[in-house]
Amino acid sequence: MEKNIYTVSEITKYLKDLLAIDPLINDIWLTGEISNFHHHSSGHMYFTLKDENSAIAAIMFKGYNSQLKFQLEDGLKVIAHGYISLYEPRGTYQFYIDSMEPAGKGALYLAFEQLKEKLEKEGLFDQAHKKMIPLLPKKIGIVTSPTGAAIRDILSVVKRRFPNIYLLVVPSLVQGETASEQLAKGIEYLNRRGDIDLIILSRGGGTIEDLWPFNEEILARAIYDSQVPIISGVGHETDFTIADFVADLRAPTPSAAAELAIASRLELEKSIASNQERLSYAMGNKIREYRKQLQGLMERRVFTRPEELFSREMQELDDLSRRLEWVMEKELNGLQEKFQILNGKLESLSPLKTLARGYSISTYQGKVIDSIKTVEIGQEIQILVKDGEIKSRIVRKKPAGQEF
Amino acid sequence: MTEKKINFEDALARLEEVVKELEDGGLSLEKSLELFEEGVRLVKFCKLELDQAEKKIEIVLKKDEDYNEVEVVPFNVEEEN
Repeated sequence: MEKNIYTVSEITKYLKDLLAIDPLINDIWLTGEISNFHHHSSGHMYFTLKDENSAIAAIMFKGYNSQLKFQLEDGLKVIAHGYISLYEPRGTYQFYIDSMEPAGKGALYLAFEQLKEKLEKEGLFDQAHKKMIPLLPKKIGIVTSPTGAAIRDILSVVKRRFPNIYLLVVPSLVQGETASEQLAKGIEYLNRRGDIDLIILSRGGGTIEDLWPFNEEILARAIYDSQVPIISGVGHETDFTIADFVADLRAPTPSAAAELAIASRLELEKSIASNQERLSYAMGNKIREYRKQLQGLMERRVFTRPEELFSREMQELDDLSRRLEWVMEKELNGLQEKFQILNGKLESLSPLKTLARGYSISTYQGKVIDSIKTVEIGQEIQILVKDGEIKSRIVRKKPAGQEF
Repeated sequence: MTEKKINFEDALARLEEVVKELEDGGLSLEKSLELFEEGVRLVKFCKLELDQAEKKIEIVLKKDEDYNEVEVVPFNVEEEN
């Protein structure tokens, strides 16, 4: 019997061809856990897919693995698609993977989780780094699609809450490959302008794929580096993006972002008015307090009975006046006495006193007759005596020393 | 961001402070009046700030990806849709 002898290459080629015509292993989904993961400098990925009992070598070329949203690592359970073929130099079969998803959860979900963990570790979500949202922003930059639902929602909220505001729309793609870079550049531009005090980063709702630009690292870093505070309002309430975590404030929707950006004018007015009222009231209270204090003081004795303040002086005054009176009286008495004495003397000189002693006074027409020349014979004269008057007529007269 | 001497929220915060201080009392009449005057000034400032805000909506038209050259024009959302 002639023996058929094959070379290693021949049989390897034969086996490879055998595998190549099998319908199953040329278009196959495999699930397993990654181990011995190695990302070669060439860009290709080499690892082993295994389960409890078996293992298969796997390779994912650069052209395919660059499409992966998530990071491969040992222990990760995946579902991979590709074909199985024989690697001739080593005579081993391997799994050539063209696409892969994490088992259990979606690829994007995993990518999201992975980036989130990485950025969180780096501190991009740190609360301490978050900037204050200004209460009354003067100029708000809005990075979003100029034609989307988000901008319409935002503008309608602004119109309702605070129409007096400057809004600057920075148009950007909000989905697709280049969107994240455009969004990042929009944020950088608004920072460079120097006149914007708040940024709203927004887009309307969509699938996780649609929202994906907001989960990209480049945008996350631009948000983190922004000097201007950023409010994110991406998708619906249930959507959380990486941008939301990095932003200074996360709003559940674009409308909510606008509401958070713009405090209601009415509320601000109310707050100012209430402060104004309290200010006046507090000052009024202060004045009332002082008035009360003043009133209390006014009720003190010094004010209600001010004479007490001067009682000593008044007493002194009384004393003085009393003394004055006494002195005056004494003086008066002295004078009176003197007067009495003088009066007595005067009286003793009075002609009446002469009458009392038995003399009389003759008068003619009120004039004392002290000479014979003052009267004529026949004239009626009056003689004043101590107890009355006598009317008499001149009968005769003679000068002294003559005889009748 | 433009640097101003005092911005709206600082003014509002200071106003709250002034009011609290006045409400707490225990101040001299002179100090009270001083605070009151400051409060009145702050109220005035806040009201002015509220009314001063500019009403304008514009859109940036960039001539290149990096915004080296831009044009800012009025934006009307109704026209866009």
